[in-house]
Amino acid sequence: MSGFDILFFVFAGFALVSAMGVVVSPNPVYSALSLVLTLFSVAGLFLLLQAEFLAVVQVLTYAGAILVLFVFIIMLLNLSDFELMEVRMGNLGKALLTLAAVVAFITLAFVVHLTRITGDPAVEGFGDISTLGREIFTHYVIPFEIAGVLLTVSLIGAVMLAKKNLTKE
Amino acid sequence: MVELPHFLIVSVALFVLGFVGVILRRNLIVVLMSIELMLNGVNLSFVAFSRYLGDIQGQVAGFFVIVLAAAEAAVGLAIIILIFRRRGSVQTTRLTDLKDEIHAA
Amino acid sequence: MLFNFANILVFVLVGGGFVGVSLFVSRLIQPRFPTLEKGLIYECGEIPVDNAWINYNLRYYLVAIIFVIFDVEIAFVYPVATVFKNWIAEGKGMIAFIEIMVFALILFVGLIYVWKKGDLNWFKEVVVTEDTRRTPEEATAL
Repeated sequence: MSGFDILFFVFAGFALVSAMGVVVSPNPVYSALSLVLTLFSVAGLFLLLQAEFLAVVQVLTYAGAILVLFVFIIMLLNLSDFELMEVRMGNLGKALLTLAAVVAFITLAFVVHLTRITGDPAVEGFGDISTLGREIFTHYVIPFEIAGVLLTVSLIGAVMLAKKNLTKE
Repeated sequence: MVELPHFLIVSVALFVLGFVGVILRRNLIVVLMSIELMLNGVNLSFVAFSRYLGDIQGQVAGFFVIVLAAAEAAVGLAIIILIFRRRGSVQTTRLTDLKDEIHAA
Repeated sequence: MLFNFANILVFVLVGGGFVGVSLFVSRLIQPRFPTLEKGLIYECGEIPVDNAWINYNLRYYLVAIIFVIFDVEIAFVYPVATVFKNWIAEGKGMIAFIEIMVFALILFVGLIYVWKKGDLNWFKEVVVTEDTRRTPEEATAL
């Protein structure tokens, strides 16, 4: 078992356990903190997959910025104790859903099992920032500019939605 | 020896967990977090395929998914603020105005 | 490649290990006589009042949204910075420059819009016209 394998199992284990924490913890604050741990672990998996730049972006924007938004919202809404206690679905629904999830997982895992891609074609400097930059700014110029438009639209949209209306309706 | 299928299994597990969260949870904020989990699962499979096929385009796709997640979170959370301001609640069980009256009870 | 990130791993292990070991050692050797006052949350020596879960002002959220959007923009700009020199050497500098400027301009439009609308102002001015006039109760309720 190489160091690579050990790191993989550590990161994968952390990712899955904390993802479970996001789904099952009754308090949204704990969910948000578990989500931070999941995102960091996935960033670790990205590093193992030689996607250095993506790992950095994941920590920078996901764990650094998006999660801040989530925590802000949880604090902003000031949910009452009643809100925090979720209305749980019945045992039958839960059991059915768990069953469906397990079936979906097994099906997808079987599909994964059928993939026959092996070997290690990656070269030195595969996922570093300049390779990715070259690709984005040559083949993906149009998606890049559209991403700019998307960000602008979501900026304006989110601000317009969230701000308090100061003029009387 | 860890190979592509291992990464894909983790990715599938993350996706299924996120899906369970979307269905099971009644708090809109946690539902949005579960959607982020699903996006991360998909992203992991993009990057894993990119690595083992030796093709950088998977990483570009993953990068655009992260950008999209940022935009989605900003607008989604703004909508949650609006819902909370109007209804005083972010429980999906309270947002049933469009439900058929006969079954609403 | 992985070697550089091995450094980070060492940092994480040493940092986490330091915290864990020092907490464990202090737990081993400390005398413990818990009282009610000692168990209170430390609040600069004051007795804590009210809930820790306070209601943040919405303005922080607006600033946070703008931060997130421009954070992602910066993530887009890093890659071009690393390859820009090579492109100038290849004579493609102008194209890359125009690409990145168009991108920045698109986002700048959003910033100008938000700025002009006054959403960045920390102190909001309430515009009072004949049909938007508020009673004092309504104004304080904002």
